[in-house]
Amino acid sequence: MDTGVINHAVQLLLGEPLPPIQSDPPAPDRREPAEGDVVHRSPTDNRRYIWRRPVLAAEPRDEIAVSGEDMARVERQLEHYR
Amino acid sequence: MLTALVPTRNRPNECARQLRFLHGNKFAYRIIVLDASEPENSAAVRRACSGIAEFRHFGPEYRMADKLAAAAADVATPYVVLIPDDDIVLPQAIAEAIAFLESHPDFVVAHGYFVAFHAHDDDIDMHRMIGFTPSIVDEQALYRLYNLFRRYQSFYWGVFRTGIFRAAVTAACVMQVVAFRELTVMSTAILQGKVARLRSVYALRGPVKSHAAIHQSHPLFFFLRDAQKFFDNYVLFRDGIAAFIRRGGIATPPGVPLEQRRFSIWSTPHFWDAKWIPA
Repeated sequence: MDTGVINHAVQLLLGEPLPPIQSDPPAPDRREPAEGDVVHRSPTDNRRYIWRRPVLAAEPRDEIAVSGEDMARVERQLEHYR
Repeated sequence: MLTALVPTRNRPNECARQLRFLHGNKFAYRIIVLDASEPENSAAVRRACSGIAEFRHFGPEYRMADKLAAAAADVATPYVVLIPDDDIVLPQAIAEAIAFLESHPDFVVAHGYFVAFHAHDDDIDMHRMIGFTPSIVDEQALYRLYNLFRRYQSFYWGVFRTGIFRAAVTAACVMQVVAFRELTVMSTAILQGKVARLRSVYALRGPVKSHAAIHQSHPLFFFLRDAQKFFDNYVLFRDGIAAFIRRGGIATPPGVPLEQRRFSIWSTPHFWDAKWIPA
C-alpha cells in the first residue's frame, strides 16, 4: 500500500493547497543507453531500439523472460510504427 | 477468424498511426474503429480509416463500454481483440494468441507481456515491464477470480473468445464508473474460463494519458475521493458478479454466501496497490 497517496489525500481533506497527485511515474526523459541495456539499429534508418535493463532483467525471473528472438520479432513489427 | 475493435476519441493522429501500423504489418483481419471524437477530429479519423478499417461514429453519450457492447453485437468471428488507439498490440502476438486459443478450449483469453515504451526522436525506448503475472489456470472459477485480484493485471487487450467478450462488456455497461466497468469485464471473463499469459511480448504501452480521470479508474483514488460513493459502486459491482455467477450456473464452494466471499477478495492489499491500466 502506498501510504504517500493516503497522506496526500488526508492533507487535501484538511485544506492543504496541494496539486493533484500523479498516479503514473512520469515517462523517462531521453537518455543514452546504459550498462545492461541492449540496443539494436533499425535496418532502414537511424532509429534505435533500446531495451532497458529493467525490462530484460525484470523480476520475478521465473515469470519474465524476453528472448533475443522476441526482441527481434517486436522490432520487425515496430518498423511500421512511424 | 478475428475482429479488432479500436475505440478512439479526439486522438486522430494516434489513431491514424495505429492503423498504418496494422496495415504495414499486413494485419489481415476486420478492423472497426469506434470513434467518439468531436466533428473536426472525427473527420480526420474517418479519413485515416479509408481502405483499412470500418468507421463508426458514436455520440458523446456513449461510454467506452457502450461502444464495445454495440460493436460486439456485430462481431461474427470467433475471436475479438480490443486495440487502443495510443498503444501497440503486436499483430504477430495476436496471431499466436489465436493459435493458442484454438488448441486450448478451456482458455477464454490469451495475451502476453506488456512493456512500457516511449518514442524519443529516433529512439524507441522500452523501459519497464508492466504486465507479466502468469497464466491463471485454476479449474475452479472462484480460485481464478481470487488469483486475478491477488496480483491484478488487466487482460482487457487480450484476444477474447467473442461470446465471452460480448457477455463481459454487456455486463460492464451496468456499472457507473470506469474502474468497475473494467473489473466487471475481467471478472465475468475469468469466471468463464482460464486466461493465458504467453511468454512473449504482446503489447507496448506508450505515455499518452488515459481519458479517464484517476479517481474514476483507480479504486484507491476513487475511495479516497468519495468513500461512500466507492462502496455504493462496489456493492453494485459485487451484486452484479454474484448474479452473473448464479445466472451462469458457475460452480462455487458451498457454505459461504457469494457476496461475503467476494468481499474477502477485495481486502487483499495487492488489489489496492495494483497497477491499473484504465480502459
